Amino acid sequence: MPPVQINSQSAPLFLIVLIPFLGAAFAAMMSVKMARLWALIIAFCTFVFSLLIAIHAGDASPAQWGMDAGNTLSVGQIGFSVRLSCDGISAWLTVLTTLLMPLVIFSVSAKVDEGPNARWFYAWMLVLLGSLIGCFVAGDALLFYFFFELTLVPCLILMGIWGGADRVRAATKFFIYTFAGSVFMLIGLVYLGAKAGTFEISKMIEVAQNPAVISSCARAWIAASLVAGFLVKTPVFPLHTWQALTYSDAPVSLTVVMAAIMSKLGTYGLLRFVLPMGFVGAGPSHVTNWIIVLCLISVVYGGLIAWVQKDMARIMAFSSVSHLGVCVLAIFASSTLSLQGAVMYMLAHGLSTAALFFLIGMIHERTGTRDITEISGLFKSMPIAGTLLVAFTMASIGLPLTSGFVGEFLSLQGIISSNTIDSAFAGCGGHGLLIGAIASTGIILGAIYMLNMVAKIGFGPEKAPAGAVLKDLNGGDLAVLAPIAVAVLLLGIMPTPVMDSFKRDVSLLKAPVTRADVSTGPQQSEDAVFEAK
Amino acid sequence: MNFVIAHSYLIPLLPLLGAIVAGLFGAKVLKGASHWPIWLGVGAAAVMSLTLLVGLLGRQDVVLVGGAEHAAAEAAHAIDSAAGFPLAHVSHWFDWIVAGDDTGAKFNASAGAFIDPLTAVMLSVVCGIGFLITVFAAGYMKGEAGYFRFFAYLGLFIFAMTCLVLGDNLVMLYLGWEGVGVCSYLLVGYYYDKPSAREAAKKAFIVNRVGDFGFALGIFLVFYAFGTISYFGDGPGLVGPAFHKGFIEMALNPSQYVPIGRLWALEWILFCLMLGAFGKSAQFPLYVWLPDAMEGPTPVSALIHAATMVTAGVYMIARLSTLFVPHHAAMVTIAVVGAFTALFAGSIALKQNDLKKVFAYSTVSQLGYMFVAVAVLNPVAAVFHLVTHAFFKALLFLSSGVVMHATGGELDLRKMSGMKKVLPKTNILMLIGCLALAGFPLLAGFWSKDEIVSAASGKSTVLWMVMLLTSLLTAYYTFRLYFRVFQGPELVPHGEHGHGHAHDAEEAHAHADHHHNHEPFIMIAPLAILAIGALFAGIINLPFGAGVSAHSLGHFLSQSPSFAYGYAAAEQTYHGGQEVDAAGFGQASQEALSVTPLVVGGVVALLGIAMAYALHLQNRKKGDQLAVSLAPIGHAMERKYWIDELFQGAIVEPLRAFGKVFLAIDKYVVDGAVAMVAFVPQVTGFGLKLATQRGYLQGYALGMLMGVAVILLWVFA
Repeated sequence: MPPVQINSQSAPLFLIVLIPFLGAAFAAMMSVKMARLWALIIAFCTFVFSLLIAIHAGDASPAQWGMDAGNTLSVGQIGFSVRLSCDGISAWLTVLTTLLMPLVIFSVSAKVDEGPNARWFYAWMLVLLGSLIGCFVAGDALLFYFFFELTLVPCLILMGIWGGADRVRAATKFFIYTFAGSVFMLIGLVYLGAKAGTFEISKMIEVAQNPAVISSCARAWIAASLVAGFLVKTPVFPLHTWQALTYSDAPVSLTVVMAAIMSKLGTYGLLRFVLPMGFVGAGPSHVTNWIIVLCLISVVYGGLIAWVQKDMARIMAFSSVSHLGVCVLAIFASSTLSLQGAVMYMLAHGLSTAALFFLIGMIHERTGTRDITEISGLFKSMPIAGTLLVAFTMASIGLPLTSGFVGEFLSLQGIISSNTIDSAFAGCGGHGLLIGAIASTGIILGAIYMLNMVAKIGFGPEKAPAGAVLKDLNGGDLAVLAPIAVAVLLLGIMPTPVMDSFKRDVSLLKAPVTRADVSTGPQQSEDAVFEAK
Repeated sequence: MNFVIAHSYLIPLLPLLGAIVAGLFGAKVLKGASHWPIWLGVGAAAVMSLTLLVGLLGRQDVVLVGGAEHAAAEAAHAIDSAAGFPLAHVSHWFDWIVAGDDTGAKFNASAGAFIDPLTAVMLSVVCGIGFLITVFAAGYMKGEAGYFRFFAYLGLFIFAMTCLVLGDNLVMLYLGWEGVGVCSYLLVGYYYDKPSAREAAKKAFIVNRVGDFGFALGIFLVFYAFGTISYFGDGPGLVGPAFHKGFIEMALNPSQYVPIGRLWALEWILFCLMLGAFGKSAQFPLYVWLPDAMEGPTPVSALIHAATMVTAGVYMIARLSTLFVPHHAAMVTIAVVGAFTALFAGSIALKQNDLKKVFAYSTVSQLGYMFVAVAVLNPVAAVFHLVTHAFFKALLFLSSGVVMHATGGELDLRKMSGMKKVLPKTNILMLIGCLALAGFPLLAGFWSKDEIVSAASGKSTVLWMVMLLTSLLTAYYTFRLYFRVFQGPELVPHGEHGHGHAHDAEEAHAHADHHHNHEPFIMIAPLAILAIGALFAGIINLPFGAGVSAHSLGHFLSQSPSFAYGYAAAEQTYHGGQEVDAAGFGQASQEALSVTPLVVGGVVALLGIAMAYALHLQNRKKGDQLAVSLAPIGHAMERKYWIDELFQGAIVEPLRAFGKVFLAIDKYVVDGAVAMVAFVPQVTGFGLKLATQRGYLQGYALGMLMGVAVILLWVFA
């Protein structure tokens, strides 16, 4: 075994992954009160760290693929290594994770503290934090897979012990579903790694693009296996049925993490692995076609189901299916513009979803229900909650000057002006407008189901179940929501510096234009169309 | 004026700051004084807007109208020269959204202003009339719960609306567009505990979103085709490699700028944008939200749903006329939709009994006029009518507000009569507003409406007849209302028997100070200013006279690049034939004043008023009898031709049904399939359980791991 080498540049990456795990070990030994405070401090530290990394992520040269740690551990011939690397995309998704995690820990309800083994709650939360960060900064495919699966353990435990009434069924379904998906993913990764002789992601990408090594038949199978794993996680129709049950029966804090951050593991995986390896991209490809169709179904199907749901958590679950359908579509549109939009969409969706789930939790805590037919007219006694509910709803449906707008608008713009999308379906062009128009129906559907929810619970004569205590948000609640509101506005008003910091990284991820099975002749990149003029 | 141009960002920013102050400190600190930050913010914006308007007017080149041909030639020439638009200024505030590759098409939505005569006119209407309405509202909303909330929303609205008219690109326009939509939502739902207000607010936002969906697609396609979303890039008429061109300029010569494979998008752009315009400006079939939006407090109806927001669609098409003009199908569509909406909504207004509903349908109808004006290549008349309409319709709505105050929230015109004794000042103000709306000779509405009708007559006889018929209806329903409410025997309702009409919440507060002065100065003063506008605003664009006084609005607007390029596009398309009236773009005036259309318009207005007089003042019984004999038609009008029911039955319910079907599919088919897939390992697991006494979960996990191991072995072997 070679000695451990950590160059100075990569030290922050190792630290930011290690700190939560170490913190978890300590948290498990503390008293409940201490554990809560400790977890909060640890999570906040990772936030500060990640912000520093994100600010500097744009500085590193492209050849280094961001900050990259050297090989530290190799096993046998296949060259598994503990390699961490971080580019602008990883960095900002890490910031999203570490921004939300302290808020999640801060907001954990007092009920958890009163129950048995509460310190373990915080310990597992930190494990979850560590494994999420690990996913985003892994530079090695097996390491990514390790962290990807590791996230399931704390989820399962948190859900199984601190979840709602149907928690066992929800936990089982969630575990089997996502585990099955990632097993497919593992097969694809291992096959590719074996062919490449390494699991270093950047090298695997080079190999995958080489038609001499990977035949087009193998390519399709690898693509399908990876896509299956990531689409379950996102999720996209028809792989979404674990989600509504899980979101409604997990504890609120875990739901926030799952909806806001873990769903991004799926889109991140598509962006990091599937797209640059050239499994999809210019020219006709059955995998691309299937994904486009599934995404479009997700947008409409998720939106319409969200409209007829009664449980707020389920509404949000199906709204995620609808929103992330657009995000995945933007990833496969594969231009700098659409990818920048997709990453912004991930960040924006994370922020607004987290805030809305927090708010739903707060309303649930006060009224004892999440059923929109049982409560109405909350604005009267809870004006601050009402104002914030409307504000985050607007962020969620993409009002300009909120982060939601930037992500959604650029994603849709990228989809419409994408050659990849336009030339999907047997290479005959002109589908771009149709596909973009169907994807854009999310603009209408989002307004319908979200405003329906807001109108039902906020407007109208006041009504709440017996025993409800309709107190407005307190200082603690505001402390949770205010940072998210600030982030939503900052990303909405000044998105350009953030987008610039990962512009180069997304353009490196664009699907390679020269492909073995491009049968329609040379394709002009959409960015090059205007250059000719 | 140079200060205003250099600091144009202050125009949206100051109302925004006012809104933030009112929103944060209104509830606890400012309370009843919450209108002050808004007064200051909007007032300052109004001063800046008017300064800008006056400054630009002073700077315009004074080409006298005598040399019509000369002016046209000069305008055409202006397009080629960089210095052709001394009145146009581009100012860059900051980079808002910049994305995409550095080479090629970069998506650059900067926050910045494009200032030209069109902007100046729009800004003055928005901020000027907006300010008057905020003054009125301070009196009107006094003592209302959530007073600060109301003013915070108003400030936010002015912010969004000024962004809309100031923006130098389509995304800024979209920002304002969505922003005013949200403010409209919040203000319509101001009385949030009323179920009707809740439904109206939701409907307003969602129907608007249908339009926004089209608008967004239009923007996507503009970027797809032109590679930019900026109106004029670094400035209109600039040439040279260092300058970015805007898409409006490119649209004059699309084949030079649009990649060949993307030329098909040009026509789609127009229909997509049109959907947005029809949604915001309440045209058929997307007008359904506007009458319901009257649930909001009356100042809101005046500001948002009459004077400013609903004209955004007209502004958009006027601004982008260069794109629209070359496409005949698009222009015909706009003309047909506009004319149909004008007539259709006018006929619904005939049988509405709620004051505000009458004016709401009237607004829809008048917006139809503006669309017809744009479609018949006369955007100047559209803007002219937009300005005069803003004056008299705001006046009418606010006067209805005064009536509402006096009657304790009652708005049913069947329940009141002879109000002139109780409300003497309002009587005169309302009369002025009604005369202007009816197109009574020499008042503001007469000139602007006549310009549209005569422009329509030059294009199509059918269009002309429809417009004239609508004018007749307009005069009739306006004076039906006036005669019923203000003239005749006195009957003043006292609000006790509100029987759950649409304005309960307002009624409650209005009733509280029922015994006070019904016409406080703070409410009457803004109305008086609006009334002056309703009387004399026609002066800005008279069809006759000497020197600059004739067609002065047209002449001013002609120096907006949007109008100059629009004219050039029209010339190109129709080869300067009879179809293009240069005056329509303000590029020249008609050589001779045609008196006939003016006389016809005046006669029609008088006829309508006379009919209303006969049936609703002189002999109301006869009017009622006539209504009974025409009951079937009347019933259809009263029920608004069942369009709402049609929407509900044909679109909303089926979509919801789809949602329910999808939900069932999700539960039984999709999840069922998953269960089927899971069944296989379950059986295996069951077998394993029998054999090894393991639980389910471990069973699955073990089975999967073994499977993985087998595959790994296969891969590496």
